[in-house]
Amino acid sequence: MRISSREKQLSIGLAVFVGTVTFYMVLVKPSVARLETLERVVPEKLVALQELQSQCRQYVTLQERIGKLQEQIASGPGDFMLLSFLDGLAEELELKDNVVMKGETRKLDATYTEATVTLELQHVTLKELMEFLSRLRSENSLVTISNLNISRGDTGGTDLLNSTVHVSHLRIGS
Amino acid sequence: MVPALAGLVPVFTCLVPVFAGLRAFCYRFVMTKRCIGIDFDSFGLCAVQMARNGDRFRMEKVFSCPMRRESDSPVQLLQSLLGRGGFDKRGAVAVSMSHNGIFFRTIQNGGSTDKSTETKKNTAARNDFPISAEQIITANCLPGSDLRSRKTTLEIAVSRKSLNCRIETVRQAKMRCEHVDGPVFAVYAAVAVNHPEIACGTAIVVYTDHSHIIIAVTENNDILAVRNIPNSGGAETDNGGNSDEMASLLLRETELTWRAAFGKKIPENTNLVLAGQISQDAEVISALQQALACRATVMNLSANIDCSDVSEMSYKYVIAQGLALRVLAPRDTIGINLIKAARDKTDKNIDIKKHVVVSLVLVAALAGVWLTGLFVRKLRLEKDYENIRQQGRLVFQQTVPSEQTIVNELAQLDSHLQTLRRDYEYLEPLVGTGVNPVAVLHAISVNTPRELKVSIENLSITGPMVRISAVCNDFETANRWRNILRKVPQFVSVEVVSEPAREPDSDSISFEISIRTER
Repeated sequence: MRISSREKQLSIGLAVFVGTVTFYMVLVKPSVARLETLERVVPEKLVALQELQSQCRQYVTLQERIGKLQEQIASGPGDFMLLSFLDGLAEELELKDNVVMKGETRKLDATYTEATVTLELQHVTLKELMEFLSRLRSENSLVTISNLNISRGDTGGTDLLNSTVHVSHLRIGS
Repeated sequence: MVPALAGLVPVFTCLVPVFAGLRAFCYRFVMTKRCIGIDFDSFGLCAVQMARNGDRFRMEKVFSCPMRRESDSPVQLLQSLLGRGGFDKRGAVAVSMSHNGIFFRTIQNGGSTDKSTETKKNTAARNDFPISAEQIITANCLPGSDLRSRKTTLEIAVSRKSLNCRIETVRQAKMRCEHVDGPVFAVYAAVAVNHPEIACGTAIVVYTDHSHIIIAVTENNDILAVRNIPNSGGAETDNGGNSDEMASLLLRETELTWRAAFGKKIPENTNLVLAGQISQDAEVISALQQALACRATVMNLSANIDCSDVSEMSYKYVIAQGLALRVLAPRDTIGINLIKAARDKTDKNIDIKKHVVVSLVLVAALAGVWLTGLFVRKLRLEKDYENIRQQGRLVFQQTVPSEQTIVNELAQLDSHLQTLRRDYEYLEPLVGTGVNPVAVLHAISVNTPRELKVSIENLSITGPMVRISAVCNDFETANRWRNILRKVPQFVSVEVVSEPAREPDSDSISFEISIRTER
């Protein structure tokens, strides 16, 4: 087929136009859209990465602390009974007649079990109370005092006190 | 698609002459075209308004006004055409270049029109005409296709500056300047329309006015040679001056012009047309007719032109009429529209194809740079994005190696962190950072001096909060004890829960304070 110069020019122009439009639609337009997305997403991802790194540091720190505390719990006597321990301590300090104890055990989650005892110390001196609390803390570091209430109460004008102490002990497993 | 487009090309090609013919028909039989011819130089300002209706030309208005170069403004005179003269301001305007501003040269046609010949002609033009190369506008009085069939061609040259000056004068008068031509072509147009017999064979056209003499030798409706001579005795001749001198001058110059065109003497019975001021001088006409043995014709401005008042048709309007006829009957006359010639020369100087190619290359280069930048930036951002993603995954895997399925590192880590925090809350009291009731009791007892006589009735420690109910003898003691407690380093804050108040059935003061210990 013979085509004239004008037809050739028209054909070339049309081909260039179609090629340019195709190039734009297939390559340029998606690239521009992707570029816009990346320009928006990359800074967001960078912030998220910094937050992730920060949380990772927190996670590692917490994990280390928890690991140490779990080791501490595990190193304690396996057959420790809080009620017996407190009973023994009261007997040792000759306060058995002044103490009323009430024990309770509850499972916190699959790992931890907490034993709590409420002690009611009646008609004790401040010195006796302080001695009891000090021995409680020093003899077993895994026993913690969660609540303490001291009142003068109706003691007939003497220096004797009434006190309520909540003591707890955490252990791993049931 | 291409053959379909190719099929349209001959259709459009056929339509072009149809449209051209339709346009010509409208101009010829339907539309009345008007033109104002303005001659600035010959006899002051002379202007005519002519109309063409079909094949007929009609002189509608004439206007003349002497122009004193020192005081009269050409723009004001032109504006008076529209006002006092009553000319149609929508009509096209044709003006002539001044006699001094136009130059002629007869060039020999070598039959070649290639680029080297064109260059030689341009160089010769620069050398032959007293106009600088940047300012010169040259044009041939025939289309290029006719150049090959003729031995000589009349070439004219004008200065761009003087041309623009003339056009600007008309524009300032709010008129539409469409045509600028040489005076000789205007004279010949007027002669050719009024005396069409001179278009066949050879002829001599002689025109004189106050300042110039124009002699043109024509052959078959083509001007072969032109002489443009200053007329030093023009004013005297008009007033009955020395006609013999004028006759001898014209005789000599006419013979020279003829010889320049044909290289021989003027043959007998050659047509001699006399126009302008000379047409009024019977002695000169008679002398020329006798000396040259020619058929002398005195130009009649209304020979082929309709006009309401023939007496108005003075010889002064020859150039003005010719200019109007150049616009109204371009095919019946010859000449050069210098506006078009200037535009063509400007267009020739600009190599459009080259500019288009350069522009396209620049656009392509810009597009290339833009695209390169786009892709480079996209690649860099993709790489950054992938790096950030990999870093996040790596950090997460190092922190929580037990997690096998990773969907959203941050959310998954947050979930693990919540579990750890809960576990830590259970274990936190073991750390020893929590409240130590013994230490709190010790701090309170140490900071409660005996002389204050403060009696603690009730003390409650729950977490970091300590609440004390106490009794003392006066308000000052209560305040002093509170201030002492505030200075204890382990106590973060000491607040009064209930202000000291006297007991109703005793003299003692009771009050309640709250202490916050450090964790």
